[in-house]
Amino acid sequence: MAAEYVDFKISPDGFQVEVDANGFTGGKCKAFTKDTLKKLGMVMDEKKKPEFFVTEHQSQTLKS
Amino acid sequence: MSFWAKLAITIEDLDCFKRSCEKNGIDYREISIPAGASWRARESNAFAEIHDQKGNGFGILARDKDGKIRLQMDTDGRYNSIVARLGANGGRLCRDYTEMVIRKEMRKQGGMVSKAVEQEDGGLVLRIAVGM
Repeated sequence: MAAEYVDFKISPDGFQVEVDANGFTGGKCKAFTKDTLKKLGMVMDEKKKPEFFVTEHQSQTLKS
Repeated sequence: MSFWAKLAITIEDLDCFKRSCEKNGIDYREISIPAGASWRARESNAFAEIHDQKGNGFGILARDKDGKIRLQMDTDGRYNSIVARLGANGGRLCRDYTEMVIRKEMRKQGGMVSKAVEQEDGGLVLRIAVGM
């Protein structure tokens, strides 16, 4: 199973953050970051990666 | 699922903001606007001031009509030692605030900082690992 991690890139003045979530499948990523993003401020832009559309079941099938 | 997102930061966690002030040599003082103050002062909705311990810089924290907190200060480093010392828009003060909020909120979710890398431009990259 790929390592699950989130990179937060904070701008020098602290007023912008880029969030890059990696290694997640299923709904875990949203649950893991939801409260933090809400506390930080307003989401200006969001892009889903290909893994976003892969479920746990599909992920296991592809590996076997 | 994995995703990428870009956020505009607003100050909401005053506990983290006060800790960032302390770390960066800034005094945080809550204020109240007297009833007899000018219309402009009352309209500002200011509730706190920040003062540089190492210079003449200061700023104010005020609430917008929608309740959001904004930091206001002179943006010219020649007249504001906070900008001169810590950077534009509060610079390091706000960057440290954002870092503290991320660490605090991610800890609640069981995440741990596995790497923190200072960037050449003064930014910071925090890597949060799940369930370490």
